[in-house]
Amino acid sequence: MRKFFLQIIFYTGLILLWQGVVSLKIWPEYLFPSPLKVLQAMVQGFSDASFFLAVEMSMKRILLGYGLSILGGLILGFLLSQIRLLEETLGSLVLGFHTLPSICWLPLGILWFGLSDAAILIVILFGSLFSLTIATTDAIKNISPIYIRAAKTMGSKGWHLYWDVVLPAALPTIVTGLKQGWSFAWRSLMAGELLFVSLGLGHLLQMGRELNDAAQMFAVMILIVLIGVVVDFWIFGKIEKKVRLRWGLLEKR
Amino acid sequence: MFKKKSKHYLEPFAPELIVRNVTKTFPTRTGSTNALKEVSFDVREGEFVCLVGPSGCGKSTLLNLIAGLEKPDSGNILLDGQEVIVPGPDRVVIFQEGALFPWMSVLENVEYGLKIRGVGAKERETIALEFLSLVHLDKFAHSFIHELSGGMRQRVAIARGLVLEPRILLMDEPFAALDTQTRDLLVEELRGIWSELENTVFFVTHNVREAVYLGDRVILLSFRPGKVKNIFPIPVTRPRDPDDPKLEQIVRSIVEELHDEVEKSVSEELKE
Ligand SMILES: Nc1ncnc2c1ncn2[C@@H]1O[C@H](COP(=O)(O)OP(=O)(O)OP(=O)(O)O)[C@@H](O)[C@H]1O
Ligand SMILES: [Mg+2]
Repeated sequence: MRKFFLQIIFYTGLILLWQGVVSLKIWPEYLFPSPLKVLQAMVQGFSDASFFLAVEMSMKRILLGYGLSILGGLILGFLLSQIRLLEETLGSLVLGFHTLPSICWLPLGILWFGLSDAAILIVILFGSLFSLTIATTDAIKNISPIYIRAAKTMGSKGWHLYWDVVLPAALPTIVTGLKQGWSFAWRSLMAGELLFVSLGLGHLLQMGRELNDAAQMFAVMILIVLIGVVVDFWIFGKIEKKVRLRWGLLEKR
Repeated sequence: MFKKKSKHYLEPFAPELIVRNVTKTFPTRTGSTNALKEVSFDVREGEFVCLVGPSGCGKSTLLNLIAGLEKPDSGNILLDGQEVIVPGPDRVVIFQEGALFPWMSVLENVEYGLKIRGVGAKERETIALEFLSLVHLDKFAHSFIHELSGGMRQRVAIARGLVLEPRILLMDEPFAALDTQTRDLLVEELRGIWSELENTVFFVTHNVREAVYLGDRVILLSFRPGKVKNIFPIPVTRPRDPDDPKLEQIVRSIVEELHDEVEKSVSEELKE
């Protein structure tokens, strides 16, 4: 509760300060708009549906790209954790690709698929696939061995052992990996949409620049932050907390 | 409610578990640790055998070998004449930490082994609930593990093991992490369960009093390499009185022998 009030005070202060700086008229308003102008741009964007369309477009892309990379990351990560030969060979390649900023895939994506959604998909996929793979491998390799031993003495093996014990035991770390993977995917998407114009939130930003409409750009950026915060804290944060609590990794408050 | 274990009278004098000349060495950074050397003993059906010894003498190693979680370098372990190779539900282990699955409810934990065995959902719930009430936790069937106290967790672990009707129940310091009061309570509960079910139990502890109170025999392992230093029969009829002077005397003689070994282990540890 205390934190909540503190934040209200902080953001009110921030907006007042912002308004104060605008009132000094150091920069022209089309470069540095007032909070009210930004609010108007926000309302405008939602009432002419352009923001809705952009959010919808971006969400579709990320759900597809991130969904694919979850699938790929879990499978690849599982295989790497189980097959030593694979880890010693493919593992280093995954680590290498992980260091490559995902936007570097865009030119290749465009070359392969043209200016299409597939090119952006490649950027999102490769932006989060490797981090998800690494997280899954680590999660499985760091399972407390006591669970496996206990399961084995109860006669669990093969498919049962993996599905009932290995995966759930690794879940808390995997969830953290999913959260991190999401933020990689989100950044990759924004970068991709900025560089190659095709609707979506990144595209709106570019449009704002072309129209010299800083208020709209502020509004879009706030929207991007809000979506990021909601997904990060409210969705992944909640799941993460719940899992950690249940798994006994978190003290009850 | 529970069927007593069917005795195998085919070979009336053959022990259920045979451990013969078992040796186990672990590789370490500086060389190797000789954990067990030529360990031999038998366990009869329905017997409660306790294993004591100084810390690091190889008690857990021996238990893991019987469980099939580790393989001996040499020697044999036979259960009902069959060589032990892999872990299996006929030799369920109860670990010090309980090792319950926090992603399952209490009931699901107890049901798990039955599920693996292919027992139908209805039937395994009935059976699991029976065993939960045996450890007085049927009211907590739908709780999650993180909601239970340490003592309750160990009772769930015991139910989870017993539900599989193992030929031998292997317990590795199951009560060591509990406070004395809870511990006494659980020892008493285990005694009651054992007298009802007549399971064969192999019980590792470093509490000699506990071992003497519960066991038919107490095996004392020496410090590294772990060898059978002595085997003490406990010829006191049940029900036993924990303050029985006869038990007290046996405790004292075991503690005396154990003391020498502990001293060796301490001086060894200081060298390392
Ligand atoms: N997996 C392993 N790798 C290497 N060394 C091991 C391994 N397991 C056990 N050891 C060593 O073998 C020896 C016996 O260990 P063990 O855990 O069986 O002792 P313990 O009698 O159960 O001790 P405690 O009473 O402390 O539980 C120890 O010196 C230990 O360091
Ligand atoms: Mg031990």
